[in-house]
Amino acid sequence: MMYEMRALITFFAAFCRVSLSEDFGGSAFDRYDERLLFKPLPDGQVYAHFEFSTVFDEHINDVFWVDHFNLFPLAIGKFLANAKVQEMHFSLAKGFWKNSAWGYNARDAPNGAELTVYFQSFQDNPQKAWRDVTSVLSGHFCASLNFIDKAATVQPVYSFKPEGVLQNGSMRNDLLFYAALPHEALCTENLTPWKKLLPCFDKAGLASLLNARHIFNSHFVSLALDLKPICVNSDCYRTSISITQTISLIFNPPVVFDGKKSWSFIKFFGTPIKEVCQLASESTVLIDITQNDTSNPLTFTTPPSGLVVKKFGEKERKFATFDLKSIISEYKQQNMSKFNIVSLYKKNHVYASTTNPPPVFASRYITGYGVSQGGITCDIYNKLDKSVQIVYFDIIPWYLRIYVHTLKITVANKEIKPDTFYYKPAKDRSQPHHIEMLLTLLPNSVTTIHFDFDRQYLKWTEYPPDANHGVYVNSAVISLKLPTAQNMTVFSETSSSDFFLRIHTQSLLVSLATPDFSMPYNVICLVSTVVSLAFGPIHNLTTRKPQIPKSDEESKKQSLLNRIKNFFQNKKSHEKSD
Amino acid sequence: MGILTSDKSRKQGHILRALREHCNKLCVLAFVCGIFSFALLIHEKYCDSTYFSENALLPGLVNREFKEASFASDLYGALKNESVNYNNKIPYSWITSQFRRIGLEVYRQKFILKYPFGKQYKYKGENVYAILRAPRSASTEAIVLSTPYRGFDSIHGTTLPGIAMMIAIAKYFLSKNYWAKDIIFLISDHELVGMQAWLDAYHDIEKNAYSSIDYEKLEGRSGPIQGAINLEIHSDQNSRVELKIEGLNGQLPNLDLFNVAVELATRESITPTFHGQSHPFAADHWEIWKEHALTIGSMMISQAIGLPTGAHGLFQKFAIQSLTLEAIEKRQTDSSHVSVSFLHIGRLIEGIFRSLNNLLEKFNRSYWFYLLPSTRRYISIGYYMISFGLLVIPSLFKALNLYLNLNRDDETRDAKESFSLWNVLPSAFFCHFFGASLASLPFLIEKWASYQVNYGYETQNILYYSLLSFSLILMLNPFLKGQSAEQLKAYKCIALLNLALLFSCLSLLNISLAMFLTLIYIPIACSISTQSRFFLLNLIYKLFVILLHPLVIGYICLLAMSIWYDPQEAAVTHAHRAFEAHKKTILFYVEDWYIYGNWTYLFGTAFLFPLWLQLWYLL
Repeated sequence: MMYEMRALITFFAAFCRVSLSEDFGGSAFDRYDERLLFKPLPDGQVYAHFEFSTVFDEHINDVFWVDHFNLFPLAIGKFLANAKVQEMHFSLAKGFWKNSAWGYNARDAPNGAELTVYFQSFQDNPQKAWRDVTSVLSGHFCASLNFIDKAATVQPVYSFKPEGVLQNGSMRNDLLFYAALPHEALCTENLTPWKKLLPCFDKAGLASLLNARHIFNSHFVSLALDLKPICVNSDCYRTSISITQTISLIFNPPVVFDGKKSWSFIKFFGTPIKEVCQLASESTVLIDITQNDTSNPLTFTTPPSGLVVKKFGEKERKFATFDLKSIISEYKQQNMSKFNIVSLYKKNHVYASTTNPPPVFASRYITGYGVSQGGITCDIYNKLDKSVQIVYFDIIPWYLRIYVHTLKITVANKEIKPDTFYYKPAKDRSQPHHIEMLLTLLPNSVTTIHFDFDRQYLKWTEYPPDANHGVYVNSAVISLKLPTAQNMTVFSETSSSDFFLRIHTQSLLVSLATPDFSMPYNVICLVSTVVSLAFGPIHNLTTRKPQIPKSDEESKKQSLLNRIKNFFQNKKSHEKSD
Repeated sequence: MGILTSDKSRKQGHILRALREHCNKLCVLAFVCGIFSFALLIHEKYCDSTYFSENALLPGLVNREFKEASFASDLYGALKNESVNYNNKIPYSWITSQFRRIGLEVYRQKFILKYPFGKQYKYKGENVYAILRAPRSASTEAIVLSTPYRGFDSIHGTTLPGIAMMIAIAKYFLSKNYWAKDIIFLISDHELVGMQAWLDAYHDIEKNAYSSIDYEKLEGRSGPIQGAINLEIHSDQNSRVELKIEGLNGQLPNLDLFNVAVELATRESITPTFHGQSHPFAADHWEIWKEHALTIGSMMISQAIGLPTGAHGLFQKFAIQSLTLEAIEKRQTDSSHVSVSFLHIGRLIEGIFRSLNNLLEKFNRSYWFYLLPSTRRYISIGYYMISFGLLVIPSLFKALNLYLNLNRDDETRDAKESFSLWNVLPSAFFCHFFGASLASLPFLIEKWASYQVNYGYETQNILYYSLLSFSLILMLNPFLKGQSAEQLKAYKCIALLNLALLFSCLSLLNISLAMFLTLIYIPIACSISTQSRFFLLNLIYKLFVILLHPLVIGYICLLAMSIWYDPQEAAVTHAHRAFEAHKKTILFYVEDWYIYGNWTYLFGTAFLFPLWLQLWYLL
């Protein structure tokens, strides 16, 4: 009843707003920004992060009645209206983001695909809607998201809370869905539909740098799409929809090129920027020069448009900025068509002997060997002087039977208890193990979470085509509020002292016992034949006392006639006994 | 269901009668056929050529482009100078800085070996390893390139060139974009101990108060290891590359890995050898047969001994396919112009690693159980098991014959005198009990370690003389002996069945050991008679059975080895030398059991010795 009422109200509201926006001829507050951040990392690699954000000035519940989408991608708009999606986070990545060496990714993504959806409160059948969402996205991004079934889906309890504005009170757990496919490979066919969502596609602006040939030559690629309702102004009287598309890349110039950390657009992406996206309100390239080494400084062939100092809590970061809009228009006036940023270092890169690890990071691995038992260990490092509370989230597929009684959380060989613990056991073929816990990491400590599992046999049709490769286990997710912006990568300035952070651990490869697929038919036939032939005699041999006929001589002396007689007599007595 | 036996058994009677009448002839025939068929298998025409079963390996499909040979030579020169200052300790700072300079993550791992006996010394060591992270992969799989550290004056030959090679190849690998698996470069301290400590730590094997290696947790790690290549390069100028595959307890790597190494070495014009023999090319079949026999004999001896021939042997326990590439140094006297330089070996390693990198699944095809008469020929389990079966079957024939005799006599005798096989149970049980107690002897010695130290006894002597005296006491023990002729028959029947059971089980774990033991045990066990009335004959039987005692077998082997290496020495010297070596060897096997999990001592005491006792009590 409540929902119906709400829907009715929303309907009226939408009706009014649609007529309003028609009057104005398109939404005046829609906005599209593109930004590219370069961050030289201490291990000589360079982190490039693209962020394309579109704001659609429409209430999320009203999208259903909208038929003109302007900058916002039509495909996504229609789909979110049909499925009544409130918030969605989708990512595809190839590689593992090494937090310990690279700091934190601006949009962290695990290897493979990851999808979180929160439905609008009047979605009557979220289970069905979730299936629809996965199939639609699967078709749209050419990814195997249709493999997300019941056995891969969980409904998080403490993690993955909606990040956007939640209307009408608190969040409902039954509307939140999470799934990850660690074996999903990111490739060109996923990138193209992703680029198509941008207003200028890849024809102009920063997106024109995204050439598949060069991107997939990097050391890490992740692309993500985040959709959430945001406040229009500080009092949050009205909300609009924000869609943020990000690509994170890691390049390794000293190894791939000439030992120097120098790079340029052409070296990384194979092309300079020729055209700026006219639809973009902002088009900037930022280069993090906070840790510019004075002995081997970073210089640019084209001077940057400006230097910006941004404050993140207590930390300050310095950026050199290039405002593409003004630069390209200047270039056009001078009849130059291509803009290339070239960053130069005079000397070769020297690898530091000590790394500067981030405050909190984790490493997760399989223990043991063989195909019957095993264990999973996750070491979580806290390098801060304060204790930090985290949420640990782990999904284990059903074919690994985990033993919860073996779950041990230790700090320096002392066992500790989690603050809160949630566990939902797996059901064969329909539900994975779902572990979530709140943990307090002690200052300067390594917390180890370990549990053992048994490997199950699958039915022989359930094995993947490359059965002996093994099966993947999702990466664990650690969410926390970090009291410092150290090693963080964020765009917007904040004055708050807490930074929400979500990191993913390694996904794991576990080998299962496999049947000999090369000859199941032969094996079945042969074994059955041998068993059927051999059972009788072996049964006879083992249950009877073998005896040798007593009178050897007699039987030898028997004449042929007697033998024949005996033969028939035997037969007769057989028949009688039968 | 009357295919093997008929129900109303006139036929059965015939077969059994034939068996009874011709038992001895059948036994001899089967045994001779066994030996003959094995000899035939070695022949070029009857053993198969090796081939690649795993298509994904694609060996030699790409051009090998390694060209950092001069870098490797420079590194070797620098490392030689550096190692002089370190007095056989690993120059950690030099190695870590080299790996770091090219841009790899470097880690170190400390470990302590707690020697379980005597003063219970603790030995400290530290491994160094570097990880090359494959681009765009999630560290889900790894390949290992390892080498044990041996200083410039090590008696086993230095491995410094191998380490230089490893760093050079790491630099080359890093510049390539095609890696799908992480590559771990591991330099182990204290040879196998360091390797074991690292592997234990990598798989996070649980440590307890009894484990002899205490290791530090690994700081950097990757996913499951799919393959490992162990390097032993002694010089920058080599004549050939020797492939070593026999691992701990006679375990072998997947034949595909061996084939990849052979194929790629041949393509780089390196002569791959196996037990010192390259693939023979001769017109004469007999010549080829002799070479095959030598190679396979050498392989079987090394497999039967159960000790790993290199650091690769420890990986196999963790289901990691691995082998050792040992570059044999070119001697000054070598007339041949063929020389295997850093460039060749680098390209060989590059080829093998690219093949391993191509693997989509872990090694799951080809053979794990095989014998190699040459680098290009193999005998699979399907063939050698036939020969082995023929060698073992006499004991079954004999046992069946004895069993039939027991049964037949049942009817002619009184019920009182009849003898069931179950009556053998107590005697057999006690034999096994004594075997198990001998196997647990080291634990007792370990427990009273302080006693040894205080009274100045050496562990090896305590162990050796305890084993000897225990055997003697059991030999003289009259209680477990069979008394009546019937009892003895039943004893022999069970002993023979036990032998067949033990050897056929062993053949699935270590075919070479099973084959050798079968060759000596079965003829003697089958031919000893329990009812000999002649004293002299009885004595000869006893002498033969004593020769089968596990300790005596060990002693004879060592004696033979001593004579082989030094034929000129006097017989007494040999006897004494073998005696001393014998004591050491037994302790050595016990140590190996503690540290790596070698089961030779356990097998000798808990499994072979009880059977020997059963045979002994027949006489």
